[in-house]
Amino acid sequence: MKRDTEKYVSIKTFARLIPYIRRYWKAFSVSVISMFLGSQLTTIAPSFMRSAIDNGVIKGDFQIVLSYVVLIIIVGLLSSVTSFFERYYTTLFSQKVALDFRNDVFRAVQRQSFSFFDEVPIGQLVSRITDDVERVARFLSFPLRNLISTAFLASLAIGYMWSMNPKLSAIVGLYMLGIMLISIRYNMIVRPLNMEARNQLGILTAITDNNITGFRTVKSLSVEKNRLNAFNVENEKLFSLYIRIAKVEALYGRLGLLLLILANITVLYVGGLDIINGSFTVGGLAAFNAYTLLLMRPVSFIGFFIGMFSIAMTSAKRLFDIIDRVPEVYEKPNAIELPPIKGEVVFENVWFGYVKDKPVLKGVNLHVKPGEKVAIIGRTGSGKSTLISLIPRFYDVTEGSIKIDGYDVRDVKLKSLRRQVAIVSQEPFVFAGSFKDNIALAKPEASMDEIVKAAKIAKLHDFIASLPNGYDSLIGERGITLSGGQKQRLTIARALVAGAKIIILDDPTSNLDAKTEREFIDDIKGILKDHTVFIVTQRLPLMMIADRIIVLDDGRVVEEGTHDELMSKRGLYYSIYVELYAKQKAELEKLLGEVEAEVVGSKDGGV
Amino acid sequence: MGFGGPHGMWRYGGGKTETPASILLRKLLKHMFPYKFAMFVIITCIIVSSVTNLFSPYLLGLAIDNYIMVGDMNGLLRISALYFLAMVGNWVAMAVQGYAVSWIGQRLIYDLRNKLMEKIMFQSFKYHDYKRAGDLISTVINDTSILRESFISGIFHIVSDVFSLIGVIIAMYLLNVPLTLVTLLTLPVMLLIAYVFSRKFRQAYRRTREKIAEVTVRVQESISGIRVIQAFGREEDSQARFQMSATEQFEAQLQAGKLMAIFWPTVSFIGNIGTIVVLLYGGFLSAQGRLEVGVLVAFLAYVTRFMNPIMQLTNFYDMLQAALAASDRIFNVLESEVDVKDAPDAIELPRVKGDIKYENVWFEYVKGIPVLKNINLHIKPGEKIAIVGPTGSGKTTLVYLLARFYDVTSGSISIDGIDIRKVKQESLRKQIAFVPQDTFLFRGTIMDNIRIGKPDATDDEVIDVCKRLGIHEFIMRLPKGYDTDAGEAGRKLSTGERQLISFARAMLKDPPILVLDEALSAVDPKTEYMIKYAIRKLLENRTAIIIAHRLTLARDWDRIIVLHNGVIEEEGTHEELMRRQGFYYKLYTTQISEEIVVEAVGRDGAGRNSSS
Ligand SMILES: Nc1ncnc2c1ncn2[C@@H]1O[C@H](COP(=O)(O)OP(=O)(O)O)[C@@H](O)[C@H]1O
Ligand SMILES: Nc1ncnc2c1ncn2[C@@H]1O[C@H](COP(=O)(O)OP(=O)(O)O)[C@@H](O)[C@H]1O
Ligand SMILES: [Mg+2]
Repeated sequence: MKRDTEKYVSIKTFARLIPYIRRYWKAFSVSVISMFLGSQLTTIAPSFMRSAIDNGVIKGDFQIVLSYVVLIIIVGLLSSVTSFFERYYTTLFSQKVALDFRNDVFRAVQRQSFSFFDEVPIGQLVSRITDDVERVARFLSFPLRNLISTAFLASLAIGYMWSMNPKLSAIVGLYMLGIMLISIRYNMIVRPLNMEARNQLGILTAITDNNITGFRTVKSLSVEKNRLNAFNVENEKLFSLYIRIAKVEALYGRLGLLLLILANITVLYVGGLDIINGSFTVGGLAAFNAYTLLLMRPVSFIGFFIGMFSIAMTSAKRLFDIIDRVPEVYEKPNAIELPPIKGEVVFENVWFGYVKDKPVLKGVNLHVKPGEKVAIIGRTGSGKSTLISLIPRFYDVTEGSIKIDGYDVRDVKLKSLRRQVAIVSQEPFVFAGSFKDNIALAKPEASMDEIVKAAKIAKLHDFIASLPNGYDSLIGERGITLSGGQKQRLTIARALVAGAKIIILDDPTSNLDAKTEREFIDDIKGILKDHTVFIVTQRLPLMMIADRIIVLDDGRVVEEGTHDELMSKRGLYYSIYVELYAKQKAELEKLLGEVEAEVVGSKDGGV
Repeated sequence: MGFGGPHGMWRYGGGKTETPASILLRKLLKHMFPYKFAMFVIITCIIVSSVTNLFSPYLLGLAIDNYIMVGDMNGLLRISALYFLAMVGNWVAMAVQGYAVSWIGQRLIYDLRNKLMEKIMFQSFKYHDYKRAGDLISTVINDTSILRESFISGIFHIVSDVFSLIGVIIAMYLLNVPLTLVTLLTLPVMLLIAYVFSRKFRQAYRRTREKIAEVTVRVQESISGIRVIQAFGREEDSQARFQMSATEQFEAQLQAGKLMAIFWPTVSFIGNIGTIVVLLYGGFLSAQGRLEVGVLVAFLAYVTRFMNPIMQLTNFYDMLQAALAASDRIFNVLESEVDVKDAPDAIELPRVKGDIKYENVWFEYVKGIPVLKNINLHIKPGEKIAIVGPTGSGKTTLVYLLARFYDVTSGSISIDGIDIRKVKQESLRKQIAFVPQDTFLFRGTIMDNIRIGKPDATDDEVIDVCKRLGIHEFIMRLPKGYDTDAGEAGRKLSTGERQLISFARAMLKDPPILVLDEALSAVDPKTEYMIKYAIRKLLENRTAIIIAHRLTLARDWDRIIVLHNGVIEEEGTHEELMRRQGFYYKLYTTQISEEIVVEAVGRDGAGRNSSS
């Protein structure tokens, strides 16, 4: 039952590949036609050989041998030419399809929304785009073409054999049937084993990666033996899988050859008797043996093909699953271009959860006026980052709505929305490339003036200008390593070039030491003058630059107002952020008082 | 030959080795020595299969000339039976050989991988400072595979090819000397072609490998940065860049395909020429009555058998290079020096009270640049000290030395009066728990990750520790609670939340000595404050070292050590240090005044923009 539906799925998947194949049907046809011709030529060669022996060598007529030799050379040359065409166009065809397929899958991946990337590890996507596409390409190259030509080759060979000796042909045919069945069976057994081995190798690689990249943690916990053991266990599993495969190969994989041997012997004996009877020739016997060998490959190919087909279709299905996947956040067909905004943001009764039944935001209402600066604060896990990621529509609200300048974010084109809302995160992402490219990310056509202006505002210009290559200096693996603060400024410059009106700072200073933080805060006040700003932070000094403070707790807005208002309320804000410092300040004052008193006292005493 | 991929060897490409080939080969053979029985079996099988393989055309010729042509039916039956036996013998030998070769190859990989991983796990920090993780991973996984494919499978193929080739030549020679000489004439042509092409192939395949690696890097970068790409609407741009790499990869692939398309037809044509020459010359001889037909038929069969091993042998050099390069990397790891090792007479450190003493400790990572300078420090059992100081002052280094991740350059460190170089590393580290700033999550669930601190802990123990640290709640908020996959959770947890998990991990270990290295830098002040009090209870009866750059976390411990440029600048309680008005006082007042100014300004209701 299950196998039936699996087969059905494979065939359906294959049907979806046909449009790709059709696009390059010319190359495909050339390769198939060359192969037809090639197989014709290949089957003709042994029969010339037979004639050369029967009519030439045995009769002692060298002239005839010579003419057949000329024929064989011509056939050989022709088949070399067809073989070239066949191979070249096969590669061309399969790699073209792979290229298109790869591009489509990549496009589909890029279209996905954040929730997709939360779920699927990067490594898995990389392996889809490289390995899975490669597997499909491999199937499209030789196996697919071979299937067509094999059928042809086999029927030709059988035709020739039949014309030479029907009885022997029937015997050989029976053997071939047996070989085919064995080959199918073998592939049925070995394919799942191979898949399993590949998975297991993946697991072993993941553990190796884990143990080595986490080496310092392993040492710190002194769990080397434990981790080594985990590795040994998976290694052992892989070993025994490979051994099972080796056994199957040694027995099943070679059974076909044993039948071939039997076939050869039968041909020799029965054919030999026929020759003695005078109903068959020596040359015929030699040719028959050659044909039997020739048939061996196409016949065992059937099983191989079935194996390849289902491996490739499993890969293709995974790829189509990505291509078919509708991103959770998608543009409505009638989405409109968001005009340049003033920067008003309204949350209306917003509910949101990453997982069903586990809401993270529970009915948030918020009205931020153009140019206003709000600090979003609250304990770790209270939903601050979540709240802000809804503004550029990285996720869709479960209930309620978010409006910018009166436009629901779900009604406008994503690009027009996201260009005007920029997020500066704690761990900003910098692409390998130049400063220029990184800053002008949103607007590659930006002029140098625009870029420099943004960098100046973001206080990054002096640093960049001091580099030998200036704005063309490379960042990343082969270039300059930036500190956390520099990366953040780069992201701000990026946002400025993009022309974002709304800027969101997500915990930008927690990785900075006190001095750098102070500088950052001083700078940012000037930079963000004309923008609507959301600041997520745990740091009191940064909260101070906001016009209003929103306190989030367990997904709800529990307090809001200016610092003074919240201070007088003595609520959550006071208890999380202020109380502690107030105490310490009092202590410090007391201590300083004492110290002063002592100093004064000792002076007094000294005199 | 498989379908489309008979030319596997060219994949490997070259690769230079630093160690002389002869030494590498000797080492490899030493590693193969345990499998000598299997090797014996394989060699026997190779001999049997080569001999039987050679017999069959000879028997065939015999059958035709001596029996069929003569009309001897009984003789035909006998010779057929003999032929059958030879072939079955050949089949059995091949099957056993195939299995034994796989077995040796897999067994060797399995052993090597275990040995490599063991070596790597027990290497020192220093070793890992200088090695890239990617290279080590590739040695464990890929180099071992290459060794198997190229060396093990390769070497036996080659042995059997050489055997068959020698056999074929002998057989041909016995059958007919002139024909043999004629056949051998094609040999130089074949070798020349193989030589010319193999260099080109190597280049072409190196290019395809490089290009696919570029595609991989491109995908990796695009997806790591996808949030930024989408945030700025740069999908088209990123797509264009991807398409460019993908197209380059396509072109490299096509180029390699073209070479193949030229090479194989050429080779098979030349193979044909061999057959033709034999047919021609044999036909000529036989027309003159100097050659029997059966001999000619048999000879033609040998010619085909002659070409195959030759083609295989041309790969030999490449394969050997690949195998040597891989084994060089493998032995480099296996034979690497471990610089922190247990002394031969190392003792088991009993559960300690936690009396720690640094005496005149100097340490340098790089020769001539001391990072710690003459540190003298005595931490009493149960004492809790904080270490503060600017970034790069040597705080982390100081605690690394305690766990003997590195050995001191001079001076000594002792715990409960025992020099840490005199005890077994494992017994030492079992008693010290580290909570680093960056949390590394292992494969498995959150539960597995916490339990790793104490592999035999029950679920309840784990949950209990989490409750006491106050992190039970947020773990329960994850999609599957404690059973959430760590990789998935890693992408969803904040830095602060990850730090808390690492904290739980350390506490579960129940160590007499606990070290926190800037472990709570990313949690909110209130949580930090609460944890500080929560851990107070957990720290009872333990010696603790707390490294903190936020001084509010540092202040309430028994003693504060101020480190500056690798020297202990000051030490004492918070109060003492404040009174001294030295380095610590300056650090603390600048940091606190940030907060205080803000608060004061806030309360005064004055414009907060003037607070700078
Ligand atoms: N991508 C995600 N998938 C599932 N859960 C998430 C994801 N991101 C955050 N969470 C969970 O949502 C809650 C709120 O997280 P977050 O908004 O990051 O809080 P904050 O920024 O206030 O620390 C936390 O419990 C967190 O574990
Ligand atoms: N593995 C290493 N190899 C070489 N130098 C190092 C290594 N780790 C740290 N250092 C250097 O040693 C000094 C002290 O570093 P560290 O102990 O990490 O300081 P802290 O923890 O106080 O920030 C720094 O100058 C740092 O660059
Ligand atoms: Mg440090």
